[in-house]
Amino acid sequence: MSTTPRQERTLSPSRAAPGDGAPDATSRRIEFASLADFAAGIAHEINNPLAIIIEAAGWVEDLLEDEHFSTSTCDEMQRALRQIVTQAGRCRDITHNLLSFANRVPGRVTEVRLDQLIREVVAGFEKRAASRRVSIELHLDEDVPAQRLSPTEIQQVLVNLLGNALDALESTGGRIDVTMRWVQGEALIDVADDGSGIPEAILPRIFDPFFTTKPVGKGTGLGLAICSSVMKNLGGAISAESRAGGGTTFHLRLPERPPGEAEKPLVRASLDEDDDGFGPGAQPPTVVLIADNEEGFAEMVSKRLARRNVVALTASSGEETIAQVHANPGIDVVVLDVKMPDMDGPAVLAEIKRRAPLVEVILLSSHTTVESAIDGMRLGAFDYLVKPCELGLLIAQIEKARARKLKQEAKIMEARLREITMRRP
Amino acid sequence: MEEFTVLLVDDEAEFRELLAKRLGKRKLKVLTAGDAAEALRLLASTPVDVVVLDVRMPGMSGTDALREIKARLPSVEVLMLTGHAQLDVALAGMELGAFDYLLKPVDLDALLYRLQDAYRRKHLRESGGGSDPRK
Ligand SMILES: Nc1ncnc2c1ncn2[C@@H]1O[C@H](COP(=O)(O)OP(=O)(O)OP(=O)(O)O)[C@@H](O)[C@H]1O
Ligand SMILES: [Mg+2]
Repeated sequence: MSTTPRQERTLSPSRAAPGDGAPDATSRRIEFASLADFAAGIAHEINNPLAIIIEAAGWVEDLLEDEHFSTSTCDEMQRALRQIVTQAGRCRDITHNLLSFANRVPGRVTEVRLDQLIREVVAGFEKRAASRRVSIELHLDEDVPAQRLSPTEIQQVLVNLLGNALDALESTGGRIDVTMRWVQGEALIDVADDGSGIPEAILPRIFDPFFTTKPVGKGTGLGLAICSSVMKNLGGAISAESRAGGGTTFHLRLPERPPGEAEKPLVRASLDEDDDGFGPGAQPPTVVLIADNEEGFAEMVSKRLARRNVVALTASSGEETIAQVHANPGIDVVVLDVKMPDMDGPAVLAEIKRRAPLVEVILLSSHTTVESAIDGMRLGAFDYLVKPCELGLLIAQIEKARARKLKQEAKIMEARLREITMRRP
Repeated sequence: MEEFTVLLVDDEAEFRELLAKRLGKRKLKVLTAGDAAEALRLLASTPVDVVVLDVRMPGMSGTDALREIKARLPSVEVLMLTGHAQLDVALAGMELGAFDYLLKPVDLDALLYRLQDAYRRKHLRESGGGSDPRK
């Protein structure tokens, strides 16, 4: 892997901090020349996969113009469609990274044992490490007290650092050392690799968003920028140390966040899978109402659901959603985008629950509207999913929601029956 | 439409191959290269009418590649593909003798028109005509 930055893919920070260029000056804050530069960088990163998507879709169109299909035409189309999915995934990676960069995803704060968390993250890397002849050694001080923080954030930092270290050792193999000590009320975590190191010339830039030396499709250059932003939010810091040819060490500093009284965890409906008695085909179809004002989305989901014993209706406004629920007592589950043009999601949800308390509602939110989704959970939504979500996951949640509805209905029936039998002389 | 030969230079293999297939289906002869060095090697051995050059690639920069192509093969026309944030690069390219630039992602029909124009200019110039289809 070359260590020259990809051509014109990096943004230069507006000001160089004094002492910049020295290997220890890298924990400085991220700065942009301007918002315009940042926007240009994002547009750039997204345009490339987009260009491929457009050509792949165009190629399928070209092929469809042919009079007759051979099996090789079908293969071609399948390959093009796969490519569209892959490249759209690339776009999604970028937007997800950007969003976590903006730190809009609220992680749930819990009591975290950092040594356990590190072990878990590292376990997730075992396979990848082994296949690259990399060994990961842990040196964790067990006396580090439990901390109150959102595990996802610190996990994300470790995942990025380990990913980078593995990339650095990709061709040579080697070793990664993860160390944690407790010093004067702070957890100090080091992630060190014995890879080729970072040249002094680029060391001051590695925390800049979009700075990457990796080939297209392999790195977005957001990893370390995210780490830096997360650590700052936690009141800590990240810095890098590298000797040319002598490996790289990232230092994390995490000030104490002692456990206080337990916060009430967000209530998420759970359901024992074993007794849902719900299998495809055996039952009358599940009726789902997809309420989303992006028409393409609703249409696409309903088409794919139709193949799974699910009848999908669609609605594109809050009012239409409520009217549909009212008009179709057969609706089991509503999949509701929290951002509707005419009403806000929680209000639509409350209205649905008022008119048809048994109908289950799954909320779809974007990262920026997660707050409303959480409000929705309090108002009795079954679950919420963040868009873009895997269709498989959505289907699984729909099935679970439907199962819960059936169970509720059965309970009510039972209660009524009991009432009736009790009243008998 | 006359057949002519196009060389696509882009570092994204998927993009290159899909675009090559689509142009091929429209009766163009299409060659591809993943970087400037490969493009220059190909140009040395194969006659090409128009080069479509992504100006943002690893290795040699797009403008350097353009300068190199124009120096070695002045008669080859070059269409640049640029990102939105690279108007300066596009303009520098025009000064260096590029035929035109298009923004990526590019519309296939727009690309085809520009390719034909570029080819026509090359053809006219070679047959001694003076008019410039860009006018
Ligand atoms: N352990 C390391 N050894 C050598 N170089 C590193 C190491 N960690 C980071 N770098 C350098 O810093 C650059 C920026 O890293 P960063 O994690 O921000 O982005 P990336 O890994 O290129 O892409 P992404 O993390 O978005 O997939 C890398 O491209 C690489 O050049
Ligand atoms: Mg990284």
